[in-house]
Amino acid sequence: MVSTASKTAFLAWYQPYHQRLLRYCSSRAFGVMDAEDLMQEAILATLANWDNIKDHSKLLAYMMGVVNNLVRNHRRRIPFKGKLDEERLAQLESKLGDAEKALEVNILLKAIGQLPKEQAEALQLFTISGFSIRETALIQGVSEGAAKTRISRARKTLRRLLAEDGQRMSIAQRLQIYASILL
Amino acid sequence: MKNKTPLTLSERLADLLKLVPEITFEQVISWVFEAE
Repeated sequence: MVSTASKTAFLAWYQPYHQRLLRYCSSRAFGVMDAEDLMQEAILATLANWDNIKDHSKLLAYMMGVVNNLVRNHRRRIPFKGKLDEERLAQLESKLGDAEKALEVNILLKAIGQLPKEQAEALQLFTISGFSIRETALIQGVSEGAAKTRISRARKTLRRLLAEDGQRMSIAQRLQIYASILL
Repeated sequence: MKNKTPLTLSERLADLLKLVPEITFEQVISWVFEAE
């Protein structure tokens, strides 16, 4: 059982990360599971380990690890991934209120899903959630330089996948890229 | 038919942020204090 003193100390540590964790959970959960459930589970799992993890600089990485594991386990339990995509698109349409925008964001989510895991995570931590380079590096257990490289490679690949790099491509080439994302 | 310019990466990322649910810190406090 976690004492009231530990709960209070945990909340004081957690508060500055609240918005960023919310964005991270949202970007990881979208179309896979409920972001609120994900967030609650991750918070309570981290709280349960508050007294065991003495070095609080490691807590953030621990918490993100919990989020990643929960999403992975949830994704494994989904039997047919095609249905997941249909549901995600429907959810996007209802939230954004624009079918075209929903399709474009869905393509972005699929393209992020195609990135190497560590690049996708770096992008979700820094660009989407708002963690600093230092925090992103700390969470990923790499140097700040390596974290920057991962983010920059992720953006470059996404721009290529989204055909936004200004390169002239034939319709056939563009269709091939879109098909690789959509199918 | 009008040929629309596809959204840029930054525009798509901005749209992604519109999908973040509203969960307040007060809600987190209640989760923490209700948890056993």
